[in-house]
Amino acid sequence: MRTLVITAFAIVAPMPVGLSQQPLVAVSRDLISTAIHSEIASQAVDSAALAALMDALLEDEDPEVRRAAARALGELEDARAVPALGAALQRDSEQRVRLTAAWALGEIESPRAVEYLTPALDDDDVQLRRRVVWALGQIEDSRAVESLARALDDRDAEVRRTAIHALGEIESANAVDPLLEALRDADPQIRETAAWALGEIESSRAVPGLVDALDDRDTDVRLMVVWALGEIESGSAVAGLANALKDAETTVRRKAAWALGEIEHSSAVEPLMEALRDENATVREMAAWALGEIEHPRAADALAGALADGDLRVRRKAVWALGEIDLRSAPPALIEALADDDLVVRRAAAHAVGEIADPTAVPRLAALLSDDDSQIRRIAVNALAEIHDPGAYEVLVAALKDEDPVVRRAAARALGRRY
Amino acid sequence: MRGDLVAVKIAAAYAALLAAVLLGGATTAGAQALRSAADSDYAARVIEHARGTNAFMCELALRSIDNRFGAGYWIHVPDAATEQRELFEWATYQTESADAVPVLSDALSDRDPCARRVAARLLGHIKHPRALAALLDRLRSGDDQTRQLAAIGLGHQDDRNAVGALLRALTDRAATVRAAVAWALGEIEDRSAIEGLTRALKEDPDPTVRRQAARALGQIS
Repeated sequence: MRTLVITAFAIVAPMPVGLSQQPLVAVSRDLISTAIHSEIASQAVDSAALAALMDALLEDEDPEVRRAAARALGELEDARAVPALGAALQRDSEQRVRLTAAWALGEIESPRAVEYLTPALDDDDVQLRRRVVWALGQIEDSRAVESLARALDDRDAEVRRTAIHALGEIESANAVDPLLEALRDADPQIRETAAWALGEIESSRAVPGLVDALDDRDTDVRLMVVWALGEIESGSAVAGLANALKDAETTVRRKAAWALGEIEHSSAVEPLMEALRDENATVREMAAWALGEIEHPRAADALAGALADGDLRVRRKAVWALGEIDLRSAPPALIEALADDDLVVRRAAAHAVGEIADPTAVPRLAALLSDDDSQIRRIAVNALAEIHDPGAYEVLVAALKDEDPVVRRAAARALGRRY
Repeated sequence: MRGDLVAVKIAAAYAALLAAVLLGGATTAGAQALRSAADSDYAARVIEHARGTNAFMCELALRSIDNRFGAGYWIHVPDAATEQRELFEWATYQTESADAVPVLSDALSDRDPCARRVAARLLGHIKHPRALAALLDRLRSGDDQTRQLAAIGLGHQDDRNAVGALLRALTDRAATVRAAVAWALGEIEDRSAIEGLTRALKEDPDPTVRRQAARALGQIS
């Protein structure tokens, strides 16, 4: 809310006082006063009402009144209510009141609630433990990490899963060791959530444990482990992920290619080149993307080979990847791709050839100047501008007569710049 | 996504059931005549259809008035229920019409419990000074159940002009009325009600009133 007020002022301040601006200024002032008003309103919970609610929570003889009071205190989100709610959580005779008190403490999100919530993790009632662990996650404070780590030993899978999720939200490095242990839980959902949490925390300390989990028998777990390794972006995961490129499941192989593209480590080039021959087109496509991210010239020949791929998506990604890589000469297949049936491939190929500035591409680029697509003609002109070649000069002069003014302008600019 | 679909299917099934139970001999000709009728006639027909409805069906009718099923809900009602559908569609969307107020106001003391509830709910949704005045009048002068229904209607009106009268009604002799009043004050969320609600939470002898007062205080922040 405070940010909104500042932003609103920043918008209003430099505005000229012209007549036409008046309504806008008025609207902005309204916005500011609303923002300020609601901020004050949300801070000022009536003390007498708060005291009466806390009294009702602790003293009223009717459990439904105590529960309604707990609920109201949760709605008010005032941290002054934490001790009263904590007391109700610890000693109310009715379980439903204790459950609502735990909920309210989660809503208030005050770190002070951790000390009240933690003892309830040992309660016999599984519903209460679930609620408490949820509340600890809401608070998102590093002080809750220790308590949540303890909850990872709970006999109820839902409590464990909620605790892991909370640890992923808090993103504290202190949670890595307990989460690595949870990665070996009997319940696949728990292992999957643990992998997710480790991916959120992004600590490289988790890499060896995650790599071990790459041969989990559950596909969803493997998928999440691969995702986490892609998030952490550590080079020490490459060997393991290279193995995952040979996983039985297509989704895992594709995600592994993605992760290797994120990590951008050159030792991944050979396994990814192999993945360009995967039986599944989406895996080949992702491998081409990853090689484009890594930008290593060793991949050029394999990517050039992928330009003959039967699948359009693979050809598009391969030609894009070749444009990313810093090459001395254009592979013949790339020059061939300038005549591809697909417009996107032709555009990307023209762009890539321009990056490489290889004179052998001039005749094909010249042919593109009679392409129906004006954007391709523009890209071709810009590519020819990069190539020092007498042939290129002539073609650019001819492009000065193109029907599209943008192409003519590009040609004029290219000639002015280079010759 | 799948949950939504199930919810829609359940709502459609309820709607068909509601239509079948409430229908009672409506004809297409009758529906034609209704299209040109005045708002007060519409209101009278809605009340008529509500009479004799069991508690479950009445709840569905009230929810359709609150439009809780979402727009397009009545599309699922079969053709045979055209009149029913139109009546409840009208009840859902025509919330500005003051012409219906006298009929609905009378229906607040109808002998049928569902007719009374439907009337109070409709009055709550008609955002017009005359609807507000009718509800305030009944809050002051009706029998126990009428005062309770009037309080609920005022909660739906959600109009700050009702806060003073509601605060006075927080000391009504009937606990059911006081509980409804506390609920209504929570809906209106006016901070001037905090003191009265705080007192009710501390001192009211009835636990339902204290519970509604606590809830209301949580709403008003």
